[in-house]
Amino acid sequence: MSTHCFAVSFALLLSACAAHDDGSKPEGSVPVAVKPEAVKPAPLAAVTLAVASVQLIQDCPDPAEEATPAAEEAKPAGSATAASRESPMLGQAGPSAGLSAKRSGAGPGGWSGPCTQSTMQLALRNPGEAGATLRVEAVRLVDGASKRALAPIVARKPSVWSPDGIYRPWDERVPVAADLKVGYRLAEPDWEKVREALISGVNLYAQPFVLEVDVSIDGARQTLRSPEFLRERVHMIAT
Amino acid sequence: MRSLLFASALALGCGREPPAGPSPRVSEPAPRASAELVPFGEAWLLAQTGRYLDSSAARRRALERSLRSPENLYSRLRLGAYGLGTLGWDLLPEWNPRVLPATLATGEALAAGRGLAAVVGAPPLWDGARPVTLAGWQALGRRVFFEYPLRPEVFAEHALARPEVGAAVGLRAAADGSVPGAVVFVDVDGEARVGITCALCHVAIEGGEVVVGRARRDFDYGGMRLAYHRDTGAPLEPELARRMASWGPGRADITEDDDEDPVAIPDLWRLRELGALTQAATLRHAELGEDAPLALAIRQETQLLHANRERARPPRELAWALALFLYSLEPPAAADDGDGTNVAAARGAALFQAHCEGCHGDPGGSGSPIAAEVAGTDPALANGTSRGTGLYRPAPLHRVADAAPYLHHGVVPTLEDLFDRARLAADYQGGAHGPGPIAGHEFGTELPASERADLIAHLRTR
Repeated sequence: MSTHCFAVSFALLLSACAAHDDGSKPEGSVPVAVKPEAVKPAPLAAVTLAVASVQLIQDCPDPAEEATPAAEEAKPAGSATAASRESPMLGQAGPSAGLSAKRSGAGPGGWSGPCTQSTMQLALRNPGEAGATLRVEAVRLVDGASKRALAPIVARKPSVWSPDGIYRPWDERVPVAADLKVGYRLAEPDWEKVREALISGVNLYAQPFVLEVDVSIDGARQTLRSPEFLRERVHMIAT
Repeated sequence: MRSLLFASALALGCGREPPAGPSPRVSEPAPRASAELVPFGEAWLLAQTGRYLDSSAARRRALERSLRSPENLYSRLRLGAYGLGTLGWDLLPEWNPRVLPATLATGEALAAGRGLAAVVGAPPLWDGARPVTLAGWQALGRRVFFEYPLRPEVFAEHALARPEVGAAVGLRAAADGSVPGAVVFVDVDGEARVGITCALCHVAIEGGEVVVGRARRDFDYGGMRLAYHRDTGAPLEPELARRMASWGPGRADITEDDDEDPVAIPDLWRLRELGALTQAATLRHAELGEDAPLALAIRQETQLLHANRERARPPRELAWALALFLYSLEPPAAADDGDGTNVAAARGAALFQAHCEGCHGDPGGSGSPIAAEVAGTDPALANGTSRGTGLYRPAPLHRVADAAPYLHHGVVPTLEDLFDRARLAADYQGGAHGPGPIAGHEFGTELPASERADLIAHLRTR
């Protein structure tokens, strides 16, 4: 918890909807009071947030120019290691050069199979009077039926939707009056442990899951729960 | 901009939705109101527009009414995430991509390693103006149909860059140099990519001309993927390779489950007539009345966002426009226009009425879904956990003579074979995907040969 943030109040959310709120705020809201000053009460951050979507497909190497030792360490055993993503064009700075961007990989021709990154998307609003900092503290894969935790998942590489329609790197700051759509890359859980934790013979691609996400807003922790989702097959042709 | 977003979010939190996307503007004069709202007429369709665009409650209701089997995977995914307002897909950012149609020049640029940078300067697909006439919506929907990326597709990129591969798998240019179904776009990570669109499967290219709405039955999706792996050496599981090779042209396995249940790409004509959407009748449609166009638009919206890995969603205006465009698609003229001069066809019409209309009784030849065991065809799709309902939709029959191979999985090569009991035998060699018996849809096979010929003559007029 930040040393500048020591109290979590139960102050009502400041919202233009307050007078006729129908309960439709995004789930999970943390009113956060920052340290009061001597004379004037500190402004409140009032961040509300919810999980918009989760897709568990694969864990792919981060683009080379973005990769960090921490990200590499965060990857569990079994993560894809080849320099591949869904397209050989990816990972280049700016507009891609297309297929000429041949990359090293596992195949005999030096190509890797396509790789599609697992992600989760969150929506945040801060109608309060102070900025805040968000941290994803933990992510758990949960059985959609029993709500039993099955395995941890590592989230990395926060990004935020920008007005030009692109997810860009994000410092996890939530400014005043912000309405943010953010995303994280997800590692894969240990699917063998997941299988062991479920009933024998379960099809992991037909098993409804939920993601529980522990987040902190300026140190105040809360748990979000995602909509139900399915593990996606790599070769799935979604129509 | 930020204040605009914030204001929008507040409105959402209050149970009303803000105008979606980049501040929609009205760009056309409003049509004169029609005194009579004929279902699927212009005034009727326009009257539903606001319900879809501006009411999450209306969308949720239409979704729930449309899903025939709430327990299948397709339904569960949508019921868990769509139309909830404060959780799930409603909270995704809207994505109005920068996109350019792919052309022969795109393939040449890729082959020469010149890249795709031109798309960075392209405008977003939609200018933010919300149409107010049906023609305006349909024009926008046509662009969505041809240009809104379903996803990045490295396999298509590969085929685009290698004309011999493209020709072999059915990804090729029309006479004007365009490559329907392929685009170059800036993805949500800012990368220029080759993508695929609705038009890849639902536009045929005949004599260099595009036939919008006709299934591209020479498009070999499995073959396109296999070509990528073959040419690049990228690894592919042998079992997956076997499955893809088994699809052949005009088919793909699009279900989320383990079953091998490839389906034939359908034509998309006169959808307004259809009581059910998908071959497995996954969604109710025409019977929903005013919710029918919402159900189709939701089908498109969720397809676009799911196919794009749920990281963003299309502006709803674009999904609505796509639905209205799809409703506008009409089949081309039949070779035999059924003017009554074809005596055999006239006799066949009577036979059709007597033997076929029990299932194919709708104006377009479809009808109420029937139990898979009654159809008798391969039940994998109907009973699958993915989209199954236990039912099959009787196939629409617009231009059925041009729609071979037949049955939901595209296995019977001709109408003659469809009504020939020989295909039911173990030694049948004529299957579109290899030898062996083709079970099911025995209706009509018991007729004398002359009557079967008359029936086929009638079907050629439809």
